[in-house]
Amino acid sequence: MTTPFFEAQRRAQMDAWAASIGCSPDAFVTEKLTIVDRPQALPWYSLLGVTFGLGTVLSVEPRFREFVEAHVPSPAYRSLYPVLMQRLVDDCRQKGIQANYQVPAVCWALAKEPAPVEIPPGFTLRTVDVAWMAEEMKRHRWENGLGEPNGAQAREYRNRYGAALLDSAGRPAAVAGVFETYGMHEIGVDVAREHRGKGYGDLVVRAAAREILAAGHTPLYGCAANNIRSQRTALAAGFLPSFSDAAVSVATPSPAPAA
Amino acid sequence: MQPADLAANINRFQRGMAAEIGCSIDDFRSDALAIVERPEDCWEPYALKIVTFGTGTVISAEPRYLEFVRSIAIEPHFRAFTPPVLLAPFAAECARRAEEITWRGPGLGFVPGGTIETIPIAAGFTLERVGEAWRESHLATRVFANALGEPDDIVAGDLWWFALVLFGPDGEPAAAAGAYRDGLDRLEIGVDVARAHRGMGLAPIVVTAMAAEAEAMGLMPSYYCAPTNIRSQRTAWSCGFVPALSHAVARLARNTA
Repeated sequence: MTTPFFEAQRRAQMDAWAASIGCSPDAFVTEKLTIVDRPQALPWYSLLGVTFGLGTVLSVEPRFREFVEAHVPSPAYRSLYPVLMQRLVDDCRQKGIQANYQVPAVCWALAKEPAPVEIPPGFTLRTVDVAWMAEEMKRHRWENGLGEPNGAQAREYRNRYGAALLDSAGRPAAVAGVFETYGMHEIGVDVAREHRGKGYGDLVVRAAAREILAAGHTPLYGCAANNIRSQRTALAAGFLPSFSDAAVSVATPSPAPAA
Repeated sequence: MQPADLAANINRFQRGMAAEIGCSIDDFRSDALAIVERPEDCWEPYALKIVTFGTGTVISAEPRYLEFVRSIAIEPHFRAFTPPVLLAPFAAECARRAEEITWRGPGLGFVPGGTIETIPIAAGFTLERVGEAWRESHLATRVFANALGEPDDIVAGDLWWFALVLFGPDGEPAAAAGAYRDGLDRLEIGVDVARAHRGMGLAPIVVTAMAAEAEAMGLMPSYYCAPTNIRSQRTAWSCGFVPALSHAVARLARNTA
């Protein structure tokens, strides 16, 4: 059973997705498949699938729509599986187009308002800004928390603020960076190897979630299905599974359609 | 949640899994990749299986694919789960050998995070243990596809054991938890709730009852679902299960029908 707080968070995530990819939020609460054209403003994917556990929404680059409609599996929620997405990749390859399939991720919404965090002795918790994040990114230590310079995630442009746990010498022990994802504020987290296993990951995630709520935004936590430790961090920080998304991206964006 | 219980359950799962897929338990606890040969007597009919408990990644493959798998550069090790790195090239290699395989991206595996408490059965409902005959008579409806398996799933049919079915006041099955043999000392739980009875909290009743049944049989309950099955993940968590492993499997098509 879920809480009204969680349901409100989930609904806000549905609204954010719907506004971004051009479907109705109600498409997520049916048990049907909805296919919409990918908005021109989102050129980094060719096929995106999202489900909150009921309806499945596919946002498709128009040139692939006919292929997708012809190969939708039954039941439709399998559209996020290789049976459709890898099939599109294979079809692209036969046509000389390089494409990649990103398998379904597990994405989380807050189940309750996070309590204030207790800071361990000798540490300080600091709210960090974009400038701090950009400088720290150069150290290549926080792939999830801050991203990599010139990385595929384009975190230089998406990072907004974050929470960093600093040791007595002022060095970051754990970093939860907050970045824009389809109108939501997503949290990425890393803990320095020497500080793992002490609960610092969920501490900075909770701190970041409190910042996001205070700023009036919707928190999102996402991780790969094979990142088991990250899933346990999400649960420990007060999140519950909310939706799953998968995508096919094509290396070379299609030319802009003629006016 | 009791972290000590969780650690013990993960340890037990790792030991069982290591014996089943032919690796060392230390391979799961490393931060590296291990490629091992699928044991001849492995109960699971896979061509390739990738497993992680959150740190090391293990790839277990049928002997005839080992050389191919070892020829692929997988760096860092957890990228083994990324389709373009291993699974897609593996499927292409199988096609080149005129072998058809099916594969699916990483799934989620759960173990009890502590003692799983059973939930009282709702008034008017009854819980009954059913066997093969009941399964046969309800398989084709696909209403309980997780609890009973899909009609054309040969592997699920071989591993299916029994089910606990919650019958409603009208005598119709409202929810079911199926038991599947999972390795040597685990019992996998698959759950479904009939459409008319969803949202009433029936899934946790049958799941926790089956977990208790597993414990009574000296087996550890396990729970699996796809990352896209959001409601199933929340059911697992609400019953006291915690994410423990992730796995991806490639099977020869004849084993998946």
